[in-house]
Amino acid sequence: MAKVITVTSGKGGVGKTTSTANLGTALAMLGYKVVVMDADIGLRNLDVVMGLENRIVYDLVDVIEGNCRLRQALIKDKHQSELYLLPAAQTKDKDAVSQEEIIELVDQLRDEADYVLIDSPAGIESGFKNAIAGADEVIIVTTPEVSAVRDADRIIGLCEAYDKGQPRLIVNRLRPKMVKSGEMMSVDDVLQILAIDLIGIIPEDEDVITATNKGEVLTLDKSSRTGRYYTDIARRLAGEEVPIEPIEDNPTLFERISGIFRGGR
Amino acid sequence: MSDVVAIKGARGGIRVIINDACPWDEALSALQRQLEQGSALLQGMRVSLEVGNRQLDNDAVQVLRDTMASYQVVASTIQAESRDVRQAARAAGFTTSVPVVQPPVQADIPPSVVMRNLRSGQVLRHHGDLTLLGDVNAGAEVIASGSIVVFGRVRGLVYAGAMGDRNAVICAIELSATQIRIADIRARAPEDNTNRGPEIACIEDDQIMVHLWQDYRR
Repeated sequence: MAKVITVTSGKGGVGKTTSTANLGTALAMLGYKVVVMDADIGLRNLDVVMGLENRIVYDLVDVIEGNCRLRQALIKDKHQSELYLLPAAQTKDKDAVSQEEIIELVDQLRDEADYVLIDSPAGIESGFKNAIAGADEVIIVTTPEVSAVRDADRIIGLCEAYDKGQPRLIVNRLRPKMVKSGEMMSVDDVLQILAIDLIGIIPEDEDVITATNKGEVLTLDKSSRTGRYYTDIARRLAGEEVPIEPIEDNPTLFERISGIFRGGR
Repeated sequence: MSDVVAIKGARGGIRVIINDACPWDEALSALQRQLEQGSALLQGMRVSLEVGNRQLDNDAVQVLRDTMASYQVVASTIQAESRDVRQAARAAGFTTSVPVVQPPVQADIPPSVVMRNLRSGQVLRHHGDLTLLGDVNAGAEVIASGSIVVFGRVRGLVYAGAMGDRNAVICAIELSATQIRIADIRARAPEDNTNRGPEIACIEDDQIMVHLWQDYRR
């Protein structure tokens, strides 16, 4: 029976889809069977980030409407044999499915994998409600910005109202230099407001942008520092005790070079 | 004046009691005054109207409903002694009930203690004094007809004396509210939002003053 985890944020553009793709990949690399599901019907992205767009034949709405069987809609990842994507429909909108239908679909997925990760749309409307309807656990992604934290706070309140328990938090796109100079909220500042458990910190990393544009998930690159942070989060999701270390500044040139010699690409 | 329309707290809602002895337009304008003052508190609460032995026809019930609606207050129930009034109320979409004999000694509105954090978008309303053990985050609101004590950090909106009580106060361990309101007066937080320790806000000379708790006690 799979554990179903929804990745959400309230605010758009803080890294839900990137985090879903990376965590899915990281869990698969740890040996788990994983399905990542794109619940952002009408604005799908997860397939693009994972470079699987051109393999889509059927989507989530097709499964719900009975146009195909679930397994026909699951797309196998290019790199990880135990990672599958259930894409969202692009030509429909959020009202194409109901909460009950999503819960039923998610229950079917439970038999297919160890972990089901659901990429939620931004906002607090029906799309978000659908995305958390079937979840056992919720992960909130935020950036250290007042607006993103405010929205995250709202979402945590809604998760409590929907009896989803207390979500865990990823602080994404942290810039240690700006925190040090007092220009950016620190992780502690964020935690003081949100008062929930932290599951990981991801630093700002330009490589995410290049990876996304290529349709390659960064975690696949074993020399990537950000990829390692995602792998740590995946371990914590799987129940391992991995301490959360504070993020230091970007790696120096020396560290980058020695990274290459350590067998990175 | 306040005898004409009385507001009382009830389990899970609020009772609006309209005196049945005074003339109808007097009752109506008293109701309007109360709604004017207390709409922020009443909007989100379950309101039941009690009209006692007053006779109201269909039109009067309609007027009652429209008056409340113009302040975005929705009454769900009308309690009336007269069967005709209850019938008219049902026709206008209210549920109705027959007055029950109240126990002779009724305790005043109980103070309430709430233990939770209020997050953005959440609103806590209470008729009476309210103690909150937790934080009021930015974007959250606390509204009470009495005083509000927050054993925590306030970053959202707090509104005490929401039925017009200017003696109500607001206390908090950290009062960094975006806006505070007591009765009909509002104040904005100063731009520098450094935490000065526990504070109390109250009305002095038609203005909201915020004092450090240790200074105020003296």
